[in-house]
Amino acid sequence: MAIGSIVGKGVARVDARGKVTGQTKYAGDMRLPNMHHGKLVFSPHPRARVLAIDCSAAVAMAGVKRVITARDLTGSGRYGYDVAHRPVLVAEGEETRYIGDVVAMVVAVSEELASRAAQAVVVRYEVLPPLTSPRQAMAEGAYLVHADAPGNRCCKREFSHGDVVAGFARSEVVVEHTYKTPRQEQAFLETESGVAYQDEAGVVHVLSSLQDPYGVAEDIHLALAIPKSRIHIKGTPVGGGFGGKLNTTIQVHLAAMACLAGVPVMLVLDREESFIFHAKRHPTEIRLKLGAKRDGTILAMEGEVISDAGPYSGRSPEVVGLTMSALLGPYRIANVATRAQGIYTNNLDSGAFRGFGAPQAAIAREGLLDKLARELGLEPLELRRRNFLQPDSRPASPMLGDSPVSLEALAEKIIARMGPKPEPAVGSSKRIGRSICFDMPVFDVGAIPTLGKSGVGATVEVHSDGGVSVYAGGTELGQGITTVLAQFAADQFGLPMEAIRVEMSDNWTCPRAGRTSASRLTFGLGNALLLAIEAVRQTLLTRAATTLGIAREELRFVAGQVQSCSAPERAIAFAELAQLCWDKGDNLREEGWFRAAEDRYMYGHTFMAAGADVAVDLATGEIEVLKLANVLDMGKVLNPVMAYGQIYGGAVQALGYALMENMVTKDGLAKTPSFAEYAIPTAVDIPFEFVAEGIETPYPTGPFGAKGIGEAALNCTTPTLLNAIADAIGVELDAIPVAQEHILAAIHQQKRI
Amino acid sequence: MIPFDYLKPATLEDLLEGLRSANGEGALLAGGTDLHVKMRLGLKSPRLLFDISELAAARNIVEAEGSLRIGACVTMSELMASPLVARLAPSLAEAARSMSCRQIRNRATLGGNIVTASPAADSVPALLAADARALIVGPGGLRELALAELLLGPGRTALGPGEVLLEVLLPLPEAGHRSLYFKVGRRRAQAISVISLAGGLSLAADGRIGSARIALGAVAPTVMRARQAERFLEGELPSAVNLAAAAALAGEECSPITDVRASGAGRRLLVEAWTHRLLQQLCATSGDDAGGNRP
Amino acid sequence: MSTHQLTLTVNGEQHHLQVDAQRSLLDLLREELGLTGTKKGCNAGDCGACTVLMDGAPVNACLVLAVQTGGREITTIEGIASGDKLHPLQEAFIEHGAAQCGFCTPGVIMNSIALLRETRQPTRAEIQEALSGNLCRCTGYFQIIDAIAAVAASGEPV
Repeated sequence: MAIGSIVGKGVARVDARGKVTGQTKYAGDMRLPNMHHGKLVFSPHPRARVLAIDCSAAVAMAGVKRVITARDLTGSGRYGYDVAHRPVLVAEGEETRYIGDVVAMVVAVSEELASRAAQAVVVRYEVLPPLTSPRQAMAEGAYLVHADAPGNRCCKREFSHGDVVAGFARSEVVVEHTYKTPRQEQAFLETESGVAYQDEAGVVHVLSSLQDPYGVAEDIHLALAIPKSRIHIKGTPVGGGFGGKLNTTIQVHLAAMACLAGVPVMLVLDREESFIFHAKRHPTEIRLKLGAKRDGTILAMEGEVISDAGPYSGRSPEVVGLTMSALLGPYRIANVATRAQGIYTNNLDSGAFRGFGAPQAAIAREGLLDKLARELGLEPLELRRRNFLQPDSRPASPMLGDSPVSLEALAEKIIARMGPKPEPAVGSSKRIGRSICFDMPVFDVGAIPTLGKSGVGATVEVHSDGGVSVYAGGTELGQGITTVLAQFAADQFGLPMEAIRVEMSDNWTCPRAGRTSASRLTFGLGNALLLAIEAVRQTLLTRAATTLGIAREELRFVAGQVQSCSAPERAIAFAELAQLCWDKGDNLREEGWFRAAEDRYMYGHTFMAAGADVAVDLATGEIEVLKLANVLDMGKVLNPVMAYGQIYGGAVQALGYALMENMVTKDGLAKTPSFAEYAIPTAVDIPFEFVAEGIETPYPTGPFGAKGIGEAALNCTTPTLLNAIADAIGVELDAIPVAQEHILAAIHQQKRI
Repeated sequence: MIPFDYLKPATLEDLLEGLRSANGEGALLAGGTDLHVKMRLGLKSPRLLFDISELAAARNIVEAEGSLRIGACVTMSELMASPLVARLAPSLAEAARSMSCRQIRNRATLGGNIVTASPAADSVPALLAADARALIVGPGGLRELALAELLLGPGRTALGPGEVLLEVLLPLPEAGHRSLYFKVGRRRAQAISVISLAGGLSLAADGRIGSARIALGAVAPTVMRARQAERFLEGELPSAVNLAAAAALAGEECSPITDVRASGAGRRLLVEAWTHRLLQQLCATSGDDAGGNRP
Repeated sequence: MSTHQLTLTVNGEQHHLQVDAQRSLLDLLREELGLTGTKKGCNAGDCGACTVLMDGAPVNACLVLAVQTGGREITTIEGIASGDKLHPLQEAFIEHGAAQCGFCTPGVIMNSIALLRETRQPTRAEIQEALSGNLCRCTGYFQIIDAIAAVAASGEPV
């Protein structure tokens, strides 16, 4: 990297101007000629047989273009990641599986009319009793949500290492506890939105807020039997995703409406529809057991995870698998037996949410470590340090990795940043608790066979005027990937940021890049782009060397020129060189294809430490987060402003998870499907003091040594807050969210004992 | 949403006449922060909306005839900014401050907060603890009603057909009277109350508690007064034991339900804890008269 | 259903319109005036994404009926830059990374303008309090508060 490189600087986001001026066009801001509006008719019952659908009243309404039911669909009518078993529309005679199932859709000239027509669709149901908890669904004789899933088991993952029985037998102290976590809603501000139309060539164009244009194309192909060559998916600027838009959301429905109605159709879910429709963080029950020697050496772990997978498979096998894997955390544990199951129910759907199953595991693991520390009479931090993975050790885990282990450095840094623990005022009923926790959040380096689809492409083109276009099929969710890629190109070509234009999330113009999840884009897409750039650079260098009469090795890209390293005055302007290449017929458009070595199976690890000081008023239960610190080993901080923005945002989501968030269901119905009832943190709920920091242990295969950081802050921040509260009140906590009344109840309970 | 018509009566007389001819199919629109949401959810579908947000007769804050009189269409932001309210009903100003957020407080009105008759209405505990009365105008002319009698149950009031809440009257506090307001929500702003409470207390010259008024929100079908706790305190010394006992009584005499925001048992614990805190602060010899804090 | 004649000023420009009674100010701005910078996040006054200034005061446009805005002055995110020169808050939001997905950003900026016009030197706590009606799920608010505090400290007119 050249001195003064733009990589590592907190340069402004390339998409910021559009966002602060309101000019950025999100899907719901688009207006097409003759655009109609769609509306979905959802099942009001979590489980019911659809007896009859009467569309006649809706069809008769002036301005209604088309009313669609399952019988209108061509193709399989089913889609879904992992298992394509989700019906686009539930047909007459079939059963609904949750209240996000759709039975009909309406296309009309206005949103208002579409809504009224949707209400005029009369559906007769035979209401059936739903399964509303995994325990109930696992019970002998329970009805099957999917006939091909005995025991309602969506997925099962097991891991064992060493001899767990012997490990516990040798343990001098054994602790065990069960932890429960709620359903967390992504709560992105922009609901599922999109516009679709079919052109004169039969191509279906879907412009929509999504995280995976390739997955969406696959689902549309599967469900509607449209040839892949005629499916164009364009991701629009995403108003927040966090995993909630990772699976196909409304895009199959949009495509079907556009094709069947023969007009451009816009569909924007309202807030309640959004909250019931997309898959959320799995509610989870985790029983965990740890055995250790008196000196704190952990000898054995046994864990059992039961996650509510909701009605469809989707990401559940991957997410539930990660919950199991992440139970081990960044610690050496010689003997392990863990198991995880995702169970189908008729509750709201579960799937991907930033952290992807690992936050639940961290709550159980870090909570039980504190309990173990108390049993051993050790400082919680000391217990953790005695069991850290060592730089030369690899985790005894299904999450193998090659990231340099930097836990001790993180521990030193977090201790320094937390400083002395504050004392409550004399005579105050407040108590202050502190906790420091660790984790090893994973990011996808393209070497996980179970995830497949590991190749990532990116294209770069240098235009004859010296401007640069990057085509990268990942999706900008607000995390800043567009800017990172522009920084890479600017750095490598020695150009200002303004010279780079990055086009993203388009299955036609961009090489395949897969989904935007698993904190994978900076690593995968970044590497692919660097390969593409290098190919174009070589062409440019060859031409410059010939023109300037200087050896290629002597040349460098800097300050808008290609110049001699030893005699910078001998140079050619980048734009002039580009024009020259153009004139000479050189190819300045290259695709880079990045694929991890096929014989490897591993994740990247963004080791992290989190610290929290929390004040709890023992008299009222009031909780104040005085200080929260997150330190991540980012490998290389590519853009500190954006990197710390990811930490702040992730940490506050973790705070919401700890203190207030729960998408409550009862009898399969959503009880909190609004921003009034589903509370997420506001600006006054954030920690009084917040430290976000990166340390940089270069990741050898990362672009510029960088790692993926998008999800990391969420991982062990929730248990850090929870443990700090428990430290303050002297009572263990094993369920979130924790509110004032829970504190009071815990204190009362303890007094009674 | 069912289509409706919109009228903006210029005077109170026009409004009453309009309501009469609407024959029960009209609804009043003041801030609209609650009504619009209910209409979009299909929970309300009036045929006619009467916009009273700028109705002069319901827009004043004045001190008159031994009362602080507040127009029903005064917004929460205006309550917060009023020096009169700050001086004469500081716990009401605090209640207004605790409500939702700026954008909502700029629209939401005191009258709207009352007549939606939510057990969790933010302003009502402060009003009930002040023994507020409602001035109502309707086909039969003006009538006055204790606020406690106006509120019958969740979403139900004693307002008759064509009647309009015009003003809220708060008796002026006696010298030395102190009042406080607290609210517990799932978060620190934009929260629907898990519980809320307001209290007023005056100490007699001999150090005993003269009068004590405690109102509790979100723990009964309507905002309620903790009468047992109040009676227990009156004439007693504000000792630690007495305050704790009164707080325990408040916890017992409320009848909270379990909902998505909290359990009934949890609410009782909160009522006891925060009533205790309220009484301690009201009886403290130092500190501000007004205010209180958000949980 | 009834339609109403309406004259209002949006971003300094006077509009004469005919609107349905049930049209919200938000839909009027987005659908009839093409001002899609003001976002619809919940349509229930819970998220603040549709915050605009009405006679200078921040309100949720989804909770105001268009017919109620006769004679009033509305300012939206499209109306605060002077030609190519961005508003100081817009510049600060770019510099401090205060916009991630950007969906809440217009509402947050409009509310911040109102704050800084009322309180020229707000404390961080006052900034937080003022922003409590604008949900942001990306940033955790820190960099938003930084951006507003920087403009407050700069003394630049807003």
